[in-house]
Amino acid sequence: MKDMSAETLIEVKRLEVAFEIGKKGLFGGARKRLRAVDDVSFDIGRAETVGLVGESGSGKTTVGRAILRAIEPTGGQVIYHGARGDLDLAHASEAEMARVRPNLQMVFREGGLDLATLSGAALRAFRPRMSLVFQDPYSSLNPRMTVRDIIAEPLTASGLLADRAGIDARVREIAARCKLNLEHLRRFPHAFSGGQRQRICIARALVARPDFVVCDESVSALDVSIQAEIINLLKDLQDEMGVSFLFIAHDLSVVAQISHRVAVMYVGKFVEYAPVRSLFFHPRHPYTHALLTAVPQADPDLPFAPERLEGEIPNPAAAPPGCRFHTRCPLARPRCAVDEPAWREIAPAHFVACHFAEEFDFRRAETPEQNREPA
Amino acid sequence: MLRVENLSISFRTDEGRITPVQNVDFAVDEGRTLGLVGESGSGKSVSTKAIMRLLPGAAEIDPAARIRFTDRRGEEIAIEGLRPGSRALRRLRGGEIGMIFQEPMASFSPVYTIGNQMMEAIGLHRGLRGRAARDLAVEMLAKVGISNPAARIDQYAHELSGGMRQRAMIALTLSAGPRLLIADEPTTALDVTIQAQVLDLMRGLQRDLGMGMIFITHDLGVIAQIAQEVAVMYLGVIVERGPVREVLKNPAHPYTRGLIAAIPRLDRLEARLSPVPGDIPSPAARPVGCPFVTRCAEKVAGLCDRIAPPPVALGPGRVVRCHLHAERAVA
Repeated sequence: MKDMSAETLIEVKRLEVAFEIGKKGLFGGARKRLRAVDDVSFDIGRAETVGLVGESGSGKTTVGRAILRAIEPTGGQVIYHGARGDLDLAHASEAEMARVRPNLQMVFREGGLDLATLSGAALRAFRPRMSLVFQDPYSSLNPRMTVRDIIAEPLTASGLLADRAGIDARVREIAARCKLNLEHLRRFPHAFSGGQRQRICIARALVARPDFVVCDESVSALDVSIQAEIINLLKDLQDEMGVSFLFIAHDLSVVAQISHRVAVMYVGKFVEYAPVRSLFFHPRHPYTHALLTAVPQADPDLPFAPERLEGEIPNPAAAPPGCRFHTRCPLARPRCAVDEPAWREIAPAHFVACHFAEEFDFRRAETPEQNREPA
Repeated sequence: MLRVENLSISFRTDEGRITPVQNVDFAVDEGRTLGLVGESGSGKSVSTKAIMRLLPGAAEIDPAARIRFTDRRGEEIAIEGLRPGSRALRRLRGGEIGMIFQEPMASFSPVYTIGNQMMEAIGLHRGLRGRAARDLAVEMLAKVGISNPAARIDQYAHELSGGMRQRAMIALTLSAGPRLLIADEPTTALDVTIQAQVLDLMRGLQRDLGMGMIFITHDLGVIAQIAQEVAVMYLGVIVERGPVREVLKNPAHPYTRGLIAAIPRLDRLEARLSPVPGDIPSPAARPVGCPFVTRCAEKVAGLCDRIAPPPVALGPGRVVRCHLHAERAVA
C-alpha cells in the first residue's frame, strides 16, 4: 500500500472538457455543449496507481487524454509537479514551456495516434515524461518498424539520447525488464502475439523513464492467462522506477488488483474516489455499489445478486439535472432530481458525491487471503 | 437434444492445413445450458458454427464427426449429412437452432426496421403473417424488457443503444421459436450493469421457454452464473468438461487450474496474480501430444510431448484429457 503522505505528482483541479455539437440554430443560436468531463478534481501521487472505472461514455478516456493534452481541456487546471518546478499543463504557454524545456527536451510521437496535430511544439517537450499505453496492441505499433526502433522512438525523437550505443543499451535494458527476448528486437511487430505486443508497448512507454503513464484499457484485449502477467509486470516496473499510472479500465476486478486509489466516473463526473480497500469493501455511492454487484465472480459459492439498474446510461449531451445518476438510482429521493450533490470527503481520503451517502451501508465481505497458487 | 461426437474441423490455408477443432464431444439437454469457455483461438466459435453449418468454404468437417439434433417432432437429424442449401438445413437454421452474436449491429440489416426483420423470421418459421406476426414481434420485444415496444418495432437497429440492440437481437432470434439457442459472447461488448440485465433476461427466458442453450464466453464469471455444464477448450480440444460447480471448485486439468488462478477477484485485493506462463501457440504451430504441453508445469517428459491424452472419465458427465489422470486411473 502506498504511503498516503507521498508527494503529489499530478493535481487535477476542476477539469472540464466540453465539445460543441450539432448545428447552429437557424438564427445563429448557440450550439449544444456536451461536457464529456465536468468539474473533475483529483490528484495522483508519485509511484502511485490511480484506477479510473466507469461504463462506456462515462468520460474516463477523455480524462486521461486531457491530462496529457491529447485533447484540449476547456476548463480547470492540471498541475504537474515536475522535478524542476510546477507547471499547469492545461494552460502551458510557449514561454512557460521554454523555461522548463532544458529539463525536458524530448519529443514523443505515439505510434498509433498522431498527437502532433493536436498540440503545440511546447507540449511535445513534455511528452516523453508522460506516456500512453493503448488498449489495442495491434494498431498502436507501426508495422514497418523493428521492435528495437519502436521502443527507441521516445529517445530518438526527443534527442534525449543521441548516440546509437547509448540508445541500444537503454532499449535492451527496458526490453529485458519487460521480458522480451533480446534476439527478437530486430523483428517486426506482426511476428508477436498479443501479450508480447503489449510488452513492447509498455517498454516503449517506459524507455525514457517517465514520471507518469496513462494506461487506457491496456490489458482489456488480452486473454485472462496473459493479462495476469502484464498486471504483475506493471506493478514490478512501478516498484523499480517509481513511475505513476493512471489506469483506465472498465473491468473492476483488474483495477482492484493494480490500483492504490480508485475513481468511479458516471456521465462526465466523478461520483467516488477512495483508497482501493475502502472503495471495494465499503463503497459509499449507490452507483459504485451497483457496479460491484454486477461483476459475475467465477466462484459458484459467491452470491450473485446484481443491484437492478433500470434503463440505460444517459447521453452526456442530455445529462439529467440534479444528481446524474438519479434516473437509474434504486435509492433516489425527490431531492436527487433537483440538487446536484457536492463532492465531499465522507471519511479520510474517501470522496463521494451523494446527498445520502451516510445512510447507506454497502459493506462487502472480504475473503481472507488464501493460498492462490495453483495446486 | 444435441449430441456432438468426434468433431474435427480443418482449414486449408496458405501455411498449410490447420485443424483448429479436434475430436470435440459435447451434448446439450433440453432446458440446460452448456458453457463453452476458452481464450481467443481456442476453437469455441468454430465448433458451434459447424452445428449451424455456417463454416466458410475452406473448412472441412472430418467424416467421422457426428452432429445429431432432435427436432421438435422428435426426429433425429444428422446435421453433418445435410446438403448445403437444402430445405432441411434452412428449416433448422433459425427455426430449430437460433444464434446470437457479440455484435448485434452485424446481425441486423441497416435498411429494414427491427419489426420488418422480426416479422420475416416469424413468417418463415412460425407461418404467421400480417397483424398476428406484428403482435408476436411486439410481445417478444416486451418480453426482453424493451420499453414502449409498439413504437420501437418501427425503429432501425442504429437508433438503439448497445444494450437495447442486444436485447432486440435476442428478441429477433427467439421470435422464430428455436429449441436450441447458441449465444456467442452475447454480453462481452456490454457494460457490466447491462450485462447483468441481459444475463438475467436470458436465464428467465430459458426457464419460460425450456430452450437448450450453448453459451460461448471467455469469462468464467459469466459461466458460473448462467451455465450448468461447462466445457473448457484449449487449442481446439476440450481439455475438461463437467458440471460447472465441480469444474470451478475442483478443476482437474492443469490449464483449467491455471485459468482460475489467473482471474483477478473482487474479494481479494493486493495478492499477486498467478499468470499461466508462456503464450498460446498459433494454430499453425500446434505442439505434438497434449496441446497445453508448452505451458504446463506438470508435464511428463516423453509422454505429454508425444502422445495426445485420451479422454478420462472422472465421474458422471465429468471428462478430462490429461495423462496425469490417466495414470491415476490405471494405478
